[in-house]
Amino acid sequence: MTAPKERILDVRGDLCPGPALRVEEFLEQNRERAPFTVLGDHRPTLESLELLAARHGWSVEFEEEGGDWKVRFRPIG
Amino acid sequence: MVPPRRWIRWAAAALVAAGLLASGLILHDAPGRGRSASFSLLCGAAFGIVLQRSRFCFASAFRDLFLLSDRRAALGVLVALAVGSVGYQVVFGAWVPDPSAGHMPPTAHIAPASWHLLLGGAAFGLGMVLSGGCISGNLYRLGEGSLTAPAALAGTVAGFWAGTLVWNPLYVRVVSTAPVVWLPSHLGYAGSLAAQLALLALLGALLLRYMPGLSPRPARPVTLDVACRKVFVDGWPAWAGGIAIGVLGTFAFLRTRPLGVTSEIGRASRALGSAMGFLPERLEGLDLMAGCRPLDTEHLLSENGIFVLGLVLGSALAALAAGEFRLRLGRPRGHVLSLAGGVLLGFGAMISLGCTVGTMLSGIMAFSLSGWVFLAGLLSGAWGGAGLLRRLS
Repeated sequence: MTAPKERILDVRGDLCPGPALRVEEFLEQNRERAPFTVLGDHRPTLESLELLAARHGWSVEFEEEGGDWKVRFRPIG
Repeated sequence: MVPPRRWIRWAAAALVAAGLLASGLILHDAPGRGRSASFSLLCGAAFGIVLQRSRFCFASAFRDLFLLSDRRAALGVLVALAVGSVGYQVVFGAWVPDPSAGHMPPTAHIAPASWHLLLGGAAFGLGMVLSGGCISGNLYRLGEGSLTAPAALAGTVAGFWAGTLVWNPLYVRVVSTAPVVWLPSHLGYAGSLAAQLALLALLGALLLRYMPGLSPRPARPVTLDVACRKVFVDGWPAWAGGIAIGVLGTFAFLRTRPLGVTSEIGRASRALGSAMGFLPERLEGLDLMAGCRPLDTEHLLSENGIFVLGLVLGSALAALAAGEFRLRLGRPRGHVLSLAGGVLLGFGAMISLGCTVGTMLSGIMAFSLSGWVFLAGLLSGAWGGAGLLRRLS
């Protein structure tokens, strides 16, 4: 059996506060707390995502790839 | 090995920096210009670099309190106000030794305070949340390559027209009779500085107490690579941006005029509207007012226009060096919101004779009650805007 594919939320091209609002909405809808990845291209958004993650009990890992960002959300506990 | 794309953006950043320096030298020696024009360009560039590097966004400072419970940008604004208050105090002390004698520093943004500033602040606060930035915010985002910023700036021109149309009755009924309150003339320099710093400290303490932030990251050993990355690539902490803006605000006031970004936009909007024949020829009392009022110039750009140009180029320079310059088309909804928000920005800035920079920042740094009244209006507008944005998202 293959593992379910991790969901990707693409917020590239969007400036703050758009990405943070979309991720917050996603976190609230994601009741099963499945790990997911956010794709972004606006570095100032990253700290807002870190703050959101901490408040909702998630850890985040950042990875830069040619000016774009991958932010991996993992549930804590 | 450094990738070719990085060389290209470094070369572009170096080209912008060289262009700024060369333009500064040319302006210095140009007939009818001189040192102050050159200073305005470089000061604008420094302002743009600081705004871009520290993500110093006034819209974010107000909006994120209500929308994301994020205190960082608001704390940066409080630091800028505190540092600028101390700096202005030093300049005031040299220029007007006795503040109770009835003289006020002529160029400082000390303006009449009444409900027109609450209205202007509320319109501006709502507008900056909808358009994703205040006027300076949209200017620095333009330097980062945002293609929604022009929509906001076009809306700002229309908003200036609306504000100009209501100016004469507003001036006669409200502004002309409103009190001009300069705190040092009532409390003295020491008293006004102590009162203002205490109020800023109280606001900061409330934010720190009731709006938790992230835990500090573990410190990394500082090597040259880490230090360069912190300055040129990673964003500066908001408090560092606040200190830089407080110092820049003081220098600008000492050397030329208080920081402000709307005077030239107001002048261009008025010239365009007048050419189309729908704006009143005479605006009552405008010449007597302190603030970012539209000023006539014999040149294509006033010194404030040169400052604004420097701001956009400074932001572009910082964004290119950091790898954050990118043409962002934005979503259609973003363009509509930017345009609508821009109209509110222009209206608020015209009836308040300035924006978050000219009326709030430079007003509060100058110990004028008008800056605080405008700030109260901004808070209410941003609160409404945050609620509206949540419904729309």
